[in-house]
Amino acid sequence: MEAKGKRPRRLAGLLVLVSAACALAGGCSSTGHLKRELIEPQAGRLRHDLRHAPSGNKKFLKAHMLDGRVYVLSDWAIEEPGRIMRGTGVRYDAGRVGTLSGEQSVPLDSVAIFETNSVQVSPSIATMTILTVGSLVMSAICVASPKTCFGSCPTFYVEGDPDSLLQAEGFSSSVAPSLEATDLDALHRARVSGPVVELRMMNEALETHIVRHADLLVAPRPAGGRVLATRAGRLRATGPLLAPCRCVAPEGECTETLAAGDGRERTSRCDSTDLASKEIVELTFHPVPQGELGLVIVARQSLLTTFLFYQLLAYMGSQLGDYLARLECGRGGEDREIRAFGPRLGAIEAEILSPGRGWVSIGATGEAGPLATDRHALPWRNPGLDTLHVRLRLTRGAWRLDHVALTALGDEVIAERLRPRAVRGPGGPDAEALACLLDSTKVLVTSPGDVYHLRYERPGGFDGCELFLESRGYYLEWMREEWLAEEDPAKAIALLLAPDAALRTLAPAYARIEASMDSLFWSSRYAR
Amino acid sequence: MRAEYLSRQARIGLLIACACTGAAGCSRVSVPGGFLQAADEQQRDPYGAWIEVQPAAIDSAAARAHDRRAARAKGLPPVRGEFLAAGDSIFVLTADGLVGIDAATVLRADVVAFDSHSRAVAAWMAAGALSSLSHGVIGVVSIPGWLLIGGIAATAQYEAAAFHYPADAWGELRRFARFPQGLPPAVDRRALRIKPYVAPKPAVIKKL
Repeated sequence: MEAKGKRPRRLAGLLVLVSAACALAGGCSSTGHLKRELIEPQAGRLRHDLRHAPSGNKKFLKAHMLDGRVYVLSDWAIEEPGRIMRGTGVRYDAGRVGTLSGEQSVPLDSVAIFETNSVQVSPSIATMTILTVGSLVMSAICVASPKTCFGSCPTFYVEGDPDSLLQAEGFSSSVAPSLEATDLDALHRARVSGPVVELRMMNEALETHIVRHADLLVAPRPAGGRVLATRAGRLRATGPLLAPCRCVAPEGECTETLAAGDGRERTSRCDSTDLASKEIVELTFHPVPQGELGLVIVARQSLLTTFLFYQLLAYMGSQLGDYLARLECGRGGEDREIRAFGPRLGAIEAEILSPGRGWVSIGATGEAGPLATDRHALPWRNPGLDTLHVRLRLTRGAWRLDHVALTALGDEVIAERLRPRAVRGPGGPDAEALACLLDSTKVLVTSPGDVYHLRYERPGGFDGCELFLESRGYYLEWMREEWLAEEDPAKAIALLLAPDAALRTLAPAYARIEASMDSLFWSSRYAR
Repeated sequence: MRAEYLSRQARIGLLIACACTGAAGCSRVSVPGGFLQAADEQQRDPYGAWIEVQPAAIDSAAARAHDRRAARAKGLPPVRGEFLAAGDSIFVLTADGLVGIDAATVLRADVVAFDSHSRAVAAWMAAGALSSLSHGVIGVVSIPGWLLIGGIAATAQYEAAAFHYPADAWGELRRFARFPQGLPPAVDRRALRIKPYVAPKPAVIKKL
């Protein structure tokens, strides 16, 4: 099986090498352009014209004589008083037999015309070189690591955002029709004003996205506070976010990184012997508000789950359709197994140190998806603590923590639901796509490279509001040809039924590509 | 199903690559192997470039009207050889000797000034398209991209060395003649010989 898996990759590697060799051969061969100009040997202008002859490498000057002879000179100088050109080269007769080589003396009065020559770089070769480099990089990505290709559900951007930040990714866990789910994402980085918001929904992966709806939830922001979503999908008003006074991770202090939601993320490397290995990040908050509090965690997954998901698809190979069919029919327990696979790596579990009770769990958070950060609050009631010790337990290398904070939870907020008012698709205004998003019995199906602009309107404007995106649907990952080489139903079953052992088996493979996976992943984003 | 789709794409890509490579090699003036060198060699070559002239038949008025079909119908063969000079007459040095053609009767002329290695660029394009098979589904985009850009590049590379009358005036074309100043009166026309060239021998693979 190992040999079978390696063969196509070797073939692909061979193709890349052949291409590189051809490019090298093509680029190195003499592919320059010859630029040639004729200059009349008129007195006064000759020196000027020769000085301004076309530049390039390996200049040659030919002096065509009235009698048909020609001097081919590699260097030359004009002696004005005697009207003589002296230089080095070869003299040919009219039959083009070389008659004299070396130092030449050319009487200008006998010259019929001068010919300058130079070789210039070919723009075609420059274009082909750029094309080759790009193509080889793509080949190298796909040959070296086919499971680092960009993927994961529809991505949402806010139009007009100067930084073009990825705001949300919809229903990342819904990899099959029966796993269709509703996803609530806080667009907490969106800066919007005025009565119109336009979201750009993109399919940037080799996937088919099936979107049932994409609604905007708008909640008024309380003075000095925010509105946050809980894991139960409820929206709660909060007070100001309080940063931890101390954060300690296995690698050392990380207070500065976690104190603000500034995009700086705390990450860690996986355990190269077991992908399920856990780590603990300890946080201290002081002072602590009383009443009902929320532990706010802003985080996204690393590419570990993407790797494992793609590996599972690769093991399923050509039988992926059978697995999906069984999943849809509810036989074989695949639904339960796939759902159980995520928790094996785990969410981010939070515990607080309670006097007399030790470490007490207050819940877990962490939404699937490696692209956009999610912000959720874990509610709990403060029993009267003035200083709070929090412990986050998470899988090594599986999470990227942007911000952890504490806040006082207020009342539940009933958000205003805005449905798209207009949709612009790849071919312009798309009433059919809009109808699909408004009718719960229909779906909008998108293909790789598709971009849809969803327009939302609120007469009162969006100033002072928190935005949330509620999307529902599922997506189908495309099988890659490179993955088929790794088809192994037994390993697929092992990954589903005995994930603990599989996570240990796959650990070295992931550890090898972990450092470079991020850049490869983002560079393989699919766009038209 | 997916694999079958991909392999079909790959086969289509291969076919197009072969077709484009073939097209890059065809529809061009056929220059004898070894006659032209690359630009850096050709710039110091004392001989003229390769020319192919299509003279009109007796009816010079029709020729001026560029009625090529009429000229071809009369079966006039094109004159091919070393471009010697251009003036009132176009002088071509063929393997059989000097041929002078009244410039007014020339329907079409193609001058190839140097070996631009456009076939190498076409082969490069084909290799690039082939290597894009390793891109998987992205090859649906990258293979046509290679063929489109590579095809344009190969054509541009060829055209950089090619000049065509009547699109280009004789004043432009004469730069690549052996005698750009015109045929010198003192030259013994019967003594002139076409540029000696040796066609490269085809590679021989010895059986071990």
